[in-house]
Amino acid sequence: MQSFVHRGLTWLFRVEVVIACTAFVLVAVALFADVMGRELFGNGIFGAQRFAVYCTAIAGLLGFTIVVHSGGHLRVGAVDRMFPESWHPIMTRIGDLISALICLGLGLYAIEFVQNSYKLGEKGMAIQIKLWPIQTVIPYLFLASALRYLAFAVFPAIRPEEKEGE
Amino acid sequence: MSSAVAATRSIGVWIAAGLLVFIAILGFTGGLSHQVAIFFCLVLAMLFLRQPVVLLLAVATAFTHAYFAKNSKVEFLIQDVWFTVDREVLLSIPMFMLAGALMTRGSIAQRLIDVMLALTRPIPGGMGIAAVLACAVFAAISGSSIVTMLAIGSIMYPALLRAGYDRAFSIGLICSAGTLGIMIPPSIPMILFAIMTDVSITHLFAGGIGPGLFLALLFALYSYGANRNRETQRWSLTEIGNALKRGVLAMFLPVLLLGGIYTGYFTPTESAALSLVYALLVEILVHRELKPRDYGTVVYDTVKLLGTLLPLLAIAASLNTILDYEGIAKGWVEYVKGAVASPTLLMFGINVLLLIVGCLMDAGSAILIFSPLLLPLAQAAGYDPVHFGIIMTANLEIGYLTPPVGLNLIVAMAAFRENFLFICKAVIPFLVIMLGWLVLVCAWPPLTMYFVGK
Repeated sequence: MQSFVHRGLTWLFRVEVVIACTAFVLVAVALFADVMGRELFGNGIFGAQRFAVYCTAIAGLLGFTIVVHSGGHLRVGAVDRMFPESWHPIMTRIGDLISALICLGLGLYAIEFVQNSYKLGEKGMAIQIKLWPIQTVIPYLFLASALRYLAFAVFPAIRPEEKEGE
Repeated sequence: MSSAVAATRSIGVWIAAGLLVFIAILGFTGGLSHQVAIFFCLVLAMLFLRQPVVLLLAVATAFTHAYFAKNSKVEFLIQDVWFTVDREVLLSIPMFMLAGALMTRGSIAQRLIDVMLALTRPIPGGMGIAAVLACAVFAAISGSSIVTMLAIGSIMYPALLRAGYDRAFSIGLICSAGTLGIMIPPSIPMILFAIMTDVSITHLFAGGIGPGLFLALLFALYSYGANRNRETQRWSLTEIGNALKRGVLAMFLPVLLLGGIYTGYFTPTESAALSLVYALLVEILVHRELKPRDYGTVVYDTVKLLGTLLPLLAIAASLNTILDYEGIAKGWVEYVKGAVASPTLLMFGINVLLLIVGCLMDAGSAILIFSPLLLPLAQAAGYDPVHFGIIMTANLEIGYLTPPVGLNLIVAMAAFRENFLFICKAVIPFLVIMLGWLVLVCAWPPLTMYFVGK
C-alpha cells in the first residue's frame, strides 16, 4: 500500500512539475515577446502581460504542492529545539495530519469560490476568457497538498526530508 | 544528546505548556477575550506542531476573517488569494528569481570574480575585497542573498583558504557579503515590500543603492584592516585586460538591468525579462558551459522558490486587506503613538522588533507580515515610506546572519561544510559593522534618499 501511494504521488508530482515549468517558461517568453514587439514594431503584444500573469499564477500556485512534495516549505524551526528529539516523529505525524485538515478546509472553500466564478461567468481583463479554468488551480493546490500531508501522516517513511529554502 | 541539551529541552516543553495554559487562563478570567485567547493558543499550538509558515498564516488569516472582522468570512481569503496573484506587478518576482538561478549555475559569477581579483591584487587583503566587490556586482544582477552568497562563495571561499586567509575571516566575509544581494537592487524583499505597501519598486531600488554600496565599502575596509600585513602582488595589465575581455558581457548585465529601470525605459518586470534572455543568450552562445539538463534544473528550482513565496504573499495580502478594511492598522498606529511619544524611541523599538523577527523568520515572510503593520508607524514618526522600506530590508538583511534562522549561516554550513557554531562566531565582527551601518541608515536619510531624488 505504501509503495502504491508513493508511486501515485510521484507520478502526480511529475505531471505538476511539467505543467508548472511549462507555465513558467511561457511567462518569460510572453514578457520578452512583449518587450521585443514594443521595441521593434512600436506595439507590445496584446494581452501578453495578462497571459504572463495567468501563467505565473499557475506556476506559483502549483509550485505550492511541488514544494510540499519535496519538503521545502518554510517553517519556524527554532521551536523544534524546545522539545525532546524523541518526540519529533510523533509531533511531525500529528503536524502532517493537521496540515492535511487545514488544506482540506481551504480546498473546500476554494471549490466554492470557483463554483461561484463559474456561475457568474467571470472573465479576465484584457483577454476576455472565462477565469474558472485557471482558478481551478487554487482548489487543486489545497486538495493535492491535503492528500500529500495525509499520506505523510499515514506513511511517515515517504515523507521527504525538510530542506532549508529562501 | 548531552544532559544539558536534554535539560534545556525539558524546560522548553514546560515553557510551551505554560504559555498555552497562561493564555487559556487569561481567556477564562477575562484578561483576554475568548476569541483572542483561542487565536493565540491556536497559533502557538500550530507553531509547536511544526506547521509551515504558509499554513500558520492561512489559519491566522482565516480566523481573522471569521471571528475578528465584522463584515467578512473565510471565503474572502480565497478571493484575496486570487486577486493577489492576478496582478501584473508580481511578474518581476519570477523573472528575477529565474535570472538569478541561471546566473548562479552559469559562469557569469566566475568571470566577475576574475575581473575583481585582477583589479585588487596590489591591495593588502585584496582577495577579500575582491570577494566583497564580486558580491556587490552580483547583487546588482541577483535579487537574493543566498543566491549571491552561493554564486560567489562557492568559488571565493576555497580560493581564500588556498591563499592562506584565516578560515573564520573567510567564511564570515562570504556569509556577510552575500547579504548585499537583498540590499543592492534588484531585490526580491524590496519588491515584496512594494507590493504590500504600494510604494514604487523603482524608488525602493534606487534607495538601496547608497546603503548597499556603503556597506560594501565597510566590508572592504574591514578586509583591508584585518589583512593589512599580508603580502601583495603587482598589477598585471595583461591579466586585467584578459579578465575584462572574458567578463565584459557579465559586467554589462547590471548596466542593462538597472540602467533600463532607472532611466525609466523599462519597467522592473520588462528589465528582468530582458536580462534573463540576455543571460540565457550569453550562456548559450558565448560561455557555453551549461548543459541542456542544467536549464531544466534552473526552471525547476525557480518554480519551487515561487511555490514557496507566491502562496505566502497571497495569504499575507489577504490579512493585510482585512486589517486595513477593519481599521485595525489605523487603530494600532494610534495606540502605539499614544503609548510612545518620542519618534526616536518608536524607531528604536521598531528596529529591535525587526532584528528579533530577523532571527526567527526569513526576510520574505517577515516583510509580508510586518511591512503593512509597521509602515504606518514609521510614517507617523516622520519617515518616508521608501526610507522605511530600506530600513526594514537592512534589519532583515542582518537577520540572514543571526541564529537560529539565519539562512546564510544555515546554507553556508551545508554548502561549505563548516560547523554552525564556528560560522556564528565568524560573522560576529561583520554583525558589529552591520549594526553600526544600520544606525547610520536610520539616522541619515540622504544615504538612502539621494539616489531616489526626493
